[in-house]
Amino acid sequence: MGEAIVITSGKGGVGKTTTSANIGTALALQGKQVCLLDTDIGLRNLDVVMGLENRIIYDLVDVLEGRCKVQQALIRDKRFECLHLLPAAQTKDKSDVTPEQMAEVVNELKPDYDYLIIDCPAGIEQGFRNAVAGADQAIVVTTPDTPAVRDADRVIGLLEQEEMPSPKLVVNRVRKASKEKGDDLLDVDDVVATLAIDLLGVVFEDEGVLRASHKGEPVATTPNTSASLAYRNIARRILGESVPLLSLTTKKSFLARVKSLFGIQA
Amino acid sequence: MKTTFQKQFVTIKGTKDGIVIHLDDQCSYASIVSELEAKIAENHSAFDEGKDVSVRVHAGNRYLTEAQQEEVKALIEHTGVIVVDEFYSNVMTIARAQEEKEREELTTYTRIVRSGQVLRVKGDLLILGDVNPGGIVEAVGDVYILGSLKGIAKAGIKGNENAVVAASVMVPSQVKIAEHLYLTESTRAERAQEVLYAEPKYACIEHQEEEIVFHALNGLAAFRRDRKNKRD
Ligand SMILES: Nc1ncnc2c1ncn2[C@@H]1O[C@H](COP(=O)(O)OP(=O)(O)OP(=O)(O)O)[C@@H](O)[C@H]1O
Ligand SMILES: [Mg+2]
Repeated sequence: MGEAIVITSGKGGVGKTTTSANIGTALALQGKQVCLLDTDIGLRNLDVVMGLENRIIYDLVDVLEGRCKVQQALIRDKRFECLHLLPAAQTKDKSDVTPEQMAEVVNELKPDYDYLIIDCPAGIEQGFRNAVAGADQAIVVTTPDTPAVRDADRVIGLLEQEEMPSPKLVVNRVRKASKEKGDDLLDVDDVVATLAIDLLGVVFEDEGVLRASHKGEPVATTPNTSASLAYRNIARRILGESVPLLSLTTKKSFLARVKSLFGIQA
Repeated sequence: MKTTFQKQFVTIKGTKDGIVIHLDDQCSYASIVSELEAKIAENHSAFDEGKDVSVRVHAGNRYLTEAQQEEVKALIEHTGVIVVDEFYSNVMTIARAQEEKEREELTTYTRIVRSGQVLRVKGDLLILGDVNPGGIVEAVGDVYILGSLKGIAKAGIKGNENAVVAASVMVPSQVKIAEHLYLTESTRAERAQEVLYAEPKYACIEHQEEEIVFHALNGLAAFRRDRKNKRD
């Protein structure tokens, strides 16, 4: 029985679809049976990022409304036999689907896969509730800026009310040289300290991600960009390996954290 | 001295804790008032010289309304030398008892209060975790946070100006006690360097200035003691 993992964020554009595509691809690279589910009905993207948009015949809403069997709607990935995509409908709306229907599809697919990766739309309304309905676990994606972190916090609060383990965190678009003062960005440390959930991975800002999406080839398939490595490490952590986080935190800031824990001004 | 066979409604006793005025709880309230007036007038000379005496008034099983307490207090203090320290009664209204019970209740919440979440309790509130930006905690009594206050904390929401908000780390966006509000300009509470106080503090209303001030947490014990003395 597979595990359904929803990728969510609250705020739009922080990298849910990119993360879904790459985690799915990286898990497939490890030989796992993976199904990607796009629940962003009306604004589907995952098919494009995967380069599969031309192969769509049926979509999620077709399945839910009984126009086809779920197997007929699944699209096999170009590169990996073991990677499939269930695309969202582009001509429908998020309110055309209910959480119960979503949970049903997820449960129908789970026995055939090791992992179901559910790409969630932005927001906390119906689309979010649909995406979360069938999930066993959640990964929250944020970027290191205040608005994204506040929304991530809101979403974590909502996820904590669901019957699932504490969500895991991916901090995306981290800039290596963003240490100058006055910068609006937060440290990964700040983000983790605020959200207080386990950090699953850090993905750097990488132009390769953009180019890969454009080409329809997730960056995880390319050998050695930092983002590609980051996604593959995230996949390994999902599989239970303990892969050290790329070292970001200097010893000093760790000490500062310990100090602040004990109420000493750092 | 006037003698009477009547049972006395007002008796004055010296105890090792000072003078206690006992009010009979079977007679009418009016009888107490008239006897008090008489007694005070009669014994006036006894209090004449010497310094201020503070007394306690014990009403037995009688419930005295606020207005009645005020009247009795005014009568006694009319002497100019006696000060009523406190009223004591064996009974209280159900409403008051309930209030008292709620006031003394402590609710413990062992989670982070996240953005968009509101936590409201009737007594005191203890949070084992942070209050994140956009999170709101409210208590009729005090708010204690064993973690960082980055969101909004309101204590004494029913008007108790003696309520406090305490936190291990203070980066509040707002602190409100009764009707007093403290606002911070800095809004990036996620950043470690924007901490207002990195060491434990409690916020309370400074009565002279009529504004919220922050004190080191080790002063809270004394603050609570004073507050308790004021209350009973
Ligand atoms: N690590 C990264 N480095 C550079 N660009 C990135 C990175 N991650 C994502 N992007 C870019 O950010 C944009 C938004 O990403 P994406 O579509 O994955 O976000 P999303 O959260 O799914 O958005 P939406 O809320 O609209 O569904 C895309 O153009 C993507 O290529
Ligand atoms: Mg998306």
